[in-house]
Amino acid sequence: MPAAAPASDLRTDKATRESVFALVGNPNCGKSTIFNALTGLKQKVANYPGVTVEKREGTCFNQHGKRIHLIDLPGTYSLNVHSPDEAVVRDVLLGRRADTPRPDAVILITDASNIERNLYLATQVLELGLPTLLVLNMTDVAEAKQWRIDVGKLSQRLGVSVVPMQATFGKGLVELKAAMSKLGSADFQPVSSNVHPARPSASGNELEARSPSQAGSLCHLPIPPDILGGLQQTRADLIRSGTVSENVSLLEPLYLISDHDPAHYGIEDSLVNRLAAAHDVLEKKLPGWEDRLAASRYEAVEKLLLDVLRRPERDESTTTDRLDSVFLHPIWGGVCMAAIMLAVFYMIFSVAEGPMDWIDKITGSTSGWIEANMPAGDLRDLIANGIIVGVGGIVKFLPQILMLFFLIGMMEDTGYMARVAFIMDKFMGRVGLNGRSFVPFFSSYACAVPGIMATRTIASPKDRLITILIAPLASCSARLPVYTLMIAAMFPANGVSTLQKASLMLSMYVLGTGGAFAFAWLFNSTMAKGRSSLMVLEMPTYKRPSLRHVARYMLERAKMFLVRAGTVILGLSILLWAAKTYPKPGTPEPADTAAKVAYRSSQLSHSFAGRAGHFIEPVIKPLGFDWKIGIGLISSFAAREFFVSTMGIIYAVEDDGDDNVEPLKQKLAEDRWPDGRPIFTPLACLSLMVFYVFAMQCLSTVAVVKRETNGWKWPIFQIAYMTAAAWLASFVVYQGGRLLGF
Amino acid sequence: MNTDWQTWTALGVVIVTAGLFVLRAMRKKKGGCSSCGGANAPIPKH
Repeated sequence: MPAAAPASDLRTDKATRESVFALVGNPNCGKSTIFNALTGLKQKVANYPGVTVEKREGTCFNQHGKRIHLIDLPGTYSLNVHSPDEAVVRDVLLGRRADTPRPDAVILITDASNIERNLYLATQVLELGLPTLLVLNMTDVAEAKQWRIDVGKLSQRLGVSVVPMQATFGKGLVELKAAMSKLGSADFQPVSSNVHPARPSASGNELEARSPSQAGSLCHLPIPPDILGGLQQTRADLIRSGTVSENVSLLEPLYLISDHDPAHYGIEDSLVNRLAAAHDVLEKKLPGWEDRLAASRYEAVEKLLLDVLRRPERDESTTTDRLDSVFLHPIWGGVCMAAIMLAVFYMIFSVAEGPMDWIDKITGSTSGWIEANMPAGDLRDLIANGIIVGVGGIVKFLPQILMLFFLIGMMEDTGYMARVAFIMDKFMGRVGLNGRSFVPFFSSYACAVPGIMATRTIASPKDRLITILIAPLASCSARLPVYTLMIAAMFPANGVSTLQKASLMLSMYVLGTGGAFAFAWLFNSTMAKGRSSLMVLEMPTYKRPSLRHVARYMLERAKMFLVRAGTVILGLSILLWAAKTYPKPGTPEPADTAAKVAYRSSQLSHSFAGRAGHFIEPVIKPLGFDWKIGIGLISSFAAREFFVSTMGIIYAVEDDGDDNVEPLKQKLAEDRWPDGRPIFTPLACLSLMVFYVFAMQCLSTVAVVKRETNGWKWPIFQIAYMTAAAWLASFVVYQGGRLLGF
Repeated sequence: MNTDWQTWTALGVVIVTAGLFVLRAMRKKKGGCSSCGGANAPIPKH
């Protein structure tokens, strides 16, 4: 299957290109599901808003076999944008993006169970004058609420084709493709509007042009005359000042001068002042004009639905309502969340244990086979003790990763994750963040990179920056191997229950989350200035999870994990092997076993890696870490999980032919300080886990923060504060523990 | 002799790996964002 191409890769020529259709709709109405169904691609889908934060493109074929270029746009409630991702929708639809042609047609996706609110965006999209097709998705959810929507009448009133769908189950896809064929054909008459100067009326007033059939329809809104006049004047002023071109409709000035956009996202710096001035002039002349315009849109939607939507006088209690009475309960909601999270970690440990052992055995026997069948030398050492130990040490965590993402996928697809966001909003509100920060923060539990990109849904630049700064504190999946190894090293004897291990693991996630909130509060009350945005979080209905979506999500993450193991971790393993092997001592290795151990220990200590570890040992010794752990801390700056590989390579556990966490765990337990004390005491292991909770240790995250904040200032600050926090927290744990007698 | 070819081959693997890392870093610097689809949305200066 091809991957979705980033938009910048797709250059098209107006004369020769295929038709371009844009998928537009509110957040969480099923756009990406429909995009995937049409294109066969694998964009991430989930049952909560804000999953798509940038446009994605793909191709599909209509019923006549004609190629169509599809653009999946981020969800938005309105073209009056609030955040960077919404600005993408506005700019693509207005044809303001140099890298994307203006769509030839729009497929407007609506959630049938929230039709009133969804049609608000429809009023704005229909005004654009582009051929439009309306998809009424999630009709099953509307039917469950006993809502009856007269599709024929809706189509007649809107002047566009309407296709009912249940995209999750693939229902309505054939009808959609048929409608798309018609949408692209020459006999389709695009809707007209009262805001396009290119279509003058017989009376000569270009802004009052309307056909009788369209009177009262949503594509021809009764914009209050004074606002219409004001917008005309603004448009003329902006054309005169060269801010917009002469052929723009009234819509471009309308959305560009919107007061909703907190930072003028997607607008060139040189135009911002002119647009802000134009807004101020209009606001002075017509105070509250934007609110009045919004009210007139809602009024039009309400009128239209009078004879289109039939629903019970009072909505009956649905399954969602009943479940929410527990999951969103002030007390039981929190209890359920804690129980579900504990169950997740319990399953990660218990279900993954067997397959992890199998991978252990395969890795161990492969390494042993090479040792037995290849003559001794550097290449054999590199393969057996560098590559296989390094890469195998990471790959063995694949079952845990699969389990983690399967459970996350289930929670996302059912809609439970949005409830977690709602519960967490209470805490987030106290530290100055809002509900929109939750989705990016939550995404960071998988990986901080998409989490930081998801901050584009946050309207307030201040909230967005703070969320970017705290996102890497969410314990990402790369920390999982480190935590697992340290928990194994803490309890080398098998006398500890899986529940206890799961609880310890969960406590690390709680610590990271608590730390993130504490830093958000600190940043909010000290360094960042700016206006906070209001909490905007839509509660989706609970749905039966689609195993196909969950499996796809899980396999995508597994693929990423394995690709990373086969590229970055492989490369780092080779380099670390070299760093611990060179420079070589001048004398040959002795044959005597005891002398050989001493020789190898001395060789490691004097290698490049050993010297680096010794160099930082004075700084990390107060945390309970020796120079070998120091090598792990340095090498894992590129990727956290590489710490596990480093320990495997450093401790060279390949000799017994069964070299994985179990033997590594034993090696760690046996290692001593020069004075004979054990290094990996439970307290030192806990200190190391706490260090990894707070430390940045990820080059990919640094790169994405640099890109999203447009400079090095914030990534450098982030590395500095997280490293300082990691050191301090470890110091408190280790020294505090020692004072308490541990 | 056996040790010699293993030593040089291992060294070659290490050098090629290091070179690939350097190339990757340089290509990223030149190319800039390869996955944001032009939707790069920097934090405005405060």
